[in-house]
Amino acid sequence: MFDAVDEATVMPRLIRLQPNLYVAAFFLMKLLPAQYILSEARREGKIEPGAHVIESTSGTFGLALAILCNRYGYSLTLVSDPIVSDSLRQRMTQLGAKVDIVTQPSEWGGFQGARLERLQRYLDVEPGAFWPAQYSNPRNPAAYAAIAEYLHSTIGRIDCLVGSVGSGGSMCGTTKYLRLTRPGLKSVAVDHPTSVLFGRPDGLRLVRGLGNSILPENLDHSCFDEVHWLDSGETFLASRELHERYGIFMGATTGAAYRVAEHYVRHNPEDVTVFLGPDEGYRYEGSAYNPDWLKHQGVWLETSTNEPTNVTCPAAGDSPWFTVNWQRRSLPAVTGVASRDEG
Amino acid sequence: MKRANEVAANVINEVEGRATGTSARAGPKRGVGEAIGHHGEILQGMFEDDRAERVRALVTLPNGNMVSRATFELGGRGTAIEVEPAWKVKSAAAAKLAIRELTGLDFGGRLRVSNSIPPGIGAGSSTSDVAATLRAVSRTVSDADLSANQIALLATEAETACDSTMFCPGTVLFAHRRGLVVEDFLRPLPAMTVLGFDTDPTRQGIDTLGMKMPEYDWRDIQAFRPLRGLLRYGIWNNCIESIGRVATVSSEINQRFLPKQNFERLLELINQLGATGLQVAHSGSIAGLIFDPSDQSTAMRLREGCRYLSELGVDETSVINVGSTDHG
Repeated sequence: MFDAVDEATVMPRLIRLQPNLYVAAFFLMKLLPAQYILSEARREGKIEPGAHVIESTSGTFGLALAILCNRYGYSLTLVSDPIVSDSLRQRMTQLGAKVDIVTQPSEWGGFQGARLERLQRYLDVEPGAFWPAQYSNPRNPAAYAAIAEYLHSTIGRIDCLVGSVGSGGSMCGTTKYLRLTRPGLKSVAVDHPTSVLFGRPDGLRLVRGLGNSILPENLDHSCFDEVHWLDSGETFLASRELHERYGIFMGATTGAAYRVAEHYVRHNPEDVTVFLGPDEGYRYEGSAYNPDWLKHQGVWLETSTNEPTNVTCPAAGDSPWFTVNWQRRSLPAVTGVASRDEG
Repeated sequence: MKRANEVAANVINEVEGRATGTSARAGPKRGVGEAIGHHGEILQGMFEDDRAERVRALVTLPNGNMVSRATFELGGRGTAIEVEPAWKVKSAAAAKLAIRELTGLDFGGRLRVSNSIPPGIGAGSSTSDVAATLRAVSRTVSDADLSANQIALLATEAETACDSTMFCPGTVLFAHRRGLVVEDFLRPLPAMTVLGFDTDPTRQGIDTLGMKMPEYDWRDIQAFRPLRGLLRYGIWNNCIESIGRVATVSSEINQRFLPKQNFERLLELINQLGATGLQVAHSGSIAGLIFDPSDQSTAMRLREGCRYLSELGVDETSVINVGSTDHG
């Protein structure tokens, strides 16, 4: 029995899809770093009932904050952009959050950049407000020690972790804590071709929460052994396949991770592989799970390419699914590679 | 504890009976107790209890080779506890506490405590003395043995901090400065063979209770979480490899607070010898390399281990068989 909804729903359900393939399926994964950041702030006296919390977010981190601020009596301002769905905005508002939408992208960082500019103006006016700063606050990745604990308790030894990257929190955090006892653990990141996170140029993205227009401090590129880029068609198809094959109804970031994890375990059948499922599929009923919308957007796909193209340089990728053998290098170390090899 | 009045009445009768020579018994009422020592810890750090409060806690590695034995009898001069040897004041204090707890009164008596454990290297000699004493006293004044939880609380009160050996054969995450269980792993540790040694052979010894407590920061507290999870898995699934890995990382974290000599070399020895891990006394100097007893080459690995250790000036080693003969 739990005292509040966030405590009841923060931990994932662990489901075995195949002998060595598991998903950690969350109701709302971002509750974990939101809880941890706020509880540490309370512990340090930086926040108390009536405090004002301000954050830049387009989605699930904002919802997580709204749930928690509602519980603890903090007032919450979420700086968001036009991409935020109406249903999400309604949920946040009903929980008592104020949602402030920036309408123009900034030149340097798209909408994410514009949001951070506006957030900074809030903080200038109100220096006592609390900014969780999910993209740079080290307590974001640190929160995932609890997931590493849970995975260890239930599965024991884990050989490979796969997940989509947005802020770098969940993947860098979980990887780091699993590697305390097993430094050889493979960590595989999934990104979107029009995201800057792993050395590609920025562009519009249909998939929310996957990829980014700015480089967050919390993204430590040297965590990763492999990086995969999946386009929208492949991502949405993978989400539907996870549902059709296993009955697991999750969001697009989970679908992308599933595609790459399934591929990894197909090629490494002895490796115990876990992928992260950050949220459920309800938010995507009108999009990823809706053939009309998918066809209208031009991202309707019926069969996956099943195998990624191998490239040595992120910029060289131009297929629906490509991968770089990242080998725990820094971003400059990877993108500085001169040769452009495909095949 | 509930029947204190009844117990007290029995004890008073006993003592009066002897004083007036009317007791039917042949001699003074006496109880004997034993307790095992430990060989440092598998894991020690700071953890959240089930009210989300942070406590210092540990998981002891029990050592059945080391035993304390106590004999207690009522009588003697007034309410004083005479202890032999006289310097075992903690045991005497524990006896006093137990008598008061069990009978509600102050009775005197004679306590004799002996053990096979060298003090000061972090091998828990005072805790096993205290636990043995508590058992001996409870068997003298009461019909029921003290539970592990009762022993833990009384022992902590008697000596400020203790270990978790009183819960053997079970395994617990134990808040040693509070005498409370944080988590019960519900099962004994799997059978392990530990090659034990003193990393400080000059035996300068350490005042374990006077040692400054480690200052853990939030990064450390997060790091202890996956260790606790993997240890839980290792105990539930009899997985020595998991336990070995947890012990090694715990010793690495502890190296910042109470560094062991030649630590880097000891870490190398894990792989060199094919051990599953390295465990240490987190407030002492002893350490152990953990091996799988079901592996036929373990005996050979132990011999090799002795050779490498003697290169580090460590000439005395012991073999501890965990999970076979643990019992208080």
